[in-house]
Amino acid sequence: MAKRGQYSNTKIWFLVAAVLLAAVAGFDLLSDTQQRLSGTLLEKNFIARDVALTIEALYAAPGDVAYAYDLKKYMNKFFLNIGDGKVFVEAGSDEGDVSYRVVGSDKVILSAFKIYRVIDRDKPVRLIMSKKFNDDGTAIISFEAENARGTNE
Amino acid sequence: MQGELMNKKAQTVSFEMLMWIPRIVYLILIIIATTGIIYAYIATNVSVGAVESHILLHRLQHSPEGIAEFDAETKRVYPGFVDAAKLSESNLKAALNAENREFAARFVISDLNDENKEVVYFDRQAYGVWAPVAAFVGIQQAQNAETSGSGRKFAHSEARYTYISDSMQLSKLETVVITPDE
Repeated sequence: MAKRGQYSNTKIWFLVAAVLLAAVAGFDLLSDTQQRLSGTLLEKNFIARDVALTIEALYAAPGDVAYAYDLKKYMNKFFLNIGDGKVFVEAGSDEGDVSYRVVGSDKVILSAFKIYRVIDRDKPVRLIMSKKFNDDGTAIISFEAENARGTNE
Repeated sequence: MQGELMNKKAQTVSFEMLMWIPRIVYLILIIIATTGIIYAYIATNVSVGAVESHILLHRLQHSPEGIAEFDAETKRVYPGFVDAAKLSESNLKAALNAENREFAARFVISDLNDENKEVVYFDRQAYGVWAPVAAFVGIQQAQNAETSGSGRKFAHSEARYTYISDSMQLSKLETVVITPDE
């Protein structure tokens, strides 16, 4: 009787171990899925690409131009950083940062800029993009922020 | 007799223990496959290849550093007038500071009879590789079929009548810009 009981115990323990392993693996993968669904990766990707394409469109302007890009209230949870030919959207949480490159030009200088703090969280933030030509034919694209503190690094 | 029975039971137990290993591996594979199918339907990216191709094409055609005629004194760009001296690979590379295989384009200038063609490339090697892929994507889009995969290439083409500024000759300019989907 004892030997038959041992045989059954072994099988039961293996069954329990398999169920626990499946539960842990399933829980981890499903929680990762839920994090992706509730995460902000899509928003960060959208903002990075939209700002980068707006800057690329600004490169096409044949004269001086200023354009106000409405960032709505996204700066309450993200940081926007423009530099090194890329647009970075950073989050303060553990989620990864997102970047998208800007196809630049040798004759146009892209200034660096970073929004690091929102002044009034109830109001939207606007990114003012300006392109100004110099006398030698080169141009510079610079940035300012409304309702936010920014720095030209 | 009892000894033989014990050996058979021992053999059964050890076989059962061994069989649990492939069962657990199979179980984990099923969980991974299910999660992969779920991930396939979660959108975390926005495809901007087609829009970017359109923007870059217009940048080359209308910006002062592109191929359009530019008067340095009045600082005015004349869209519709192509400066033949600017239609070179070196000038295009200066106009668009893109890395290798980041962007490809082809300009074809010809007279109204489609003769005397002059072809200029931006990243000729990448254009040669991407053009058939981009053509395939174009066919799929025309059939309203969804395309998927990270190897997509988006082409934007335009044909317009322009004047070559030196000779004031009316010509046809065909432009194709291809960007990869990132």
